[in-house]
Amino acid sequence: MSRVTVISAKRLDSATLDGIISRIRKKAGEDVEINIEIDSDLIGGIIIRHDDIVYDGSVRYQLERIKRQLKR
Amino acid sequence: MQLPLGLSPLEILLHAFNFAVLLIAVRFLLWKPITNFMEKRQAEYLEAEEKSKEALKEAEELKQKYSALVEEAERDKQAIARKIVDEANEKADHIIKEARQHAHEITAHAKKQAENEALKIKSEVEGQIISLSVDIAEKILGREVSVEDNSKLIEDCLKEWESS
Repeated sequence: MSRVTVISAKRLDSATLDGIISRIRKKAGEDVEINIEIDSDLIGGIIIRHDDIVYDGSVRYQLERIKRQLKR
Repeated sequence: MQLPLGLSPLEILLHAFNFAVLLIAVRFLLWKPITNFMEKRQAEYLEAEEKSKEALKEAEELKQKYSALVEEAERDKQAIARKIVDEANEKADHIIKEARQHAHEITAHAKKQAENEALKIKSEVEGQIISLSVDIAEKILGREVSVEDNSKLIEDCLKEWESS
């Protein structure tokens, strides 16, 4: 059984949350374990951690990437 | 007959005879030793004069020899002095050259250090400016990320995950 954790910067309304869960089940299967967390440090967007793979779509990640590029 | 001084002719003849005898006696008895003595003295004087001349000549030769030695010593002294001065000048030039080289190295090292320090400071300042800019951006974005923007970010992330 796979596990997907979604970390959001802001509290999500139920429609958005249902849409996300639906799409996760479609991609990862019906028996997937889904965890939803809130982290305001992300500023905006979400992070999807599927087992050991992480997809970071947060504003904080974008800013960190810009910072690294500027410092090169 | 009486002659002046109260002498008779016979007495005069007698005296003359005595004088002649005396002369002959002196001639035979003293002449030879005296001449021998005089010749010997003359020979001694000549020998002494000859020795004196030889000594004078030797002294002159010695004087010339010593003068030559003194001149040679003077030349040697001047040559040694020139050599010492030349060596001292050479050493001084070498020391000055080394000192200049050392000063140049110190200057170059200091310049390099200053450049490195400036680069380091510049890099630190740039890093601080970037961090500060990103912090400001975070604060602005934290206030201004709208619901629509957040929904779009969520949608983009989901699409990326779904397409993997």
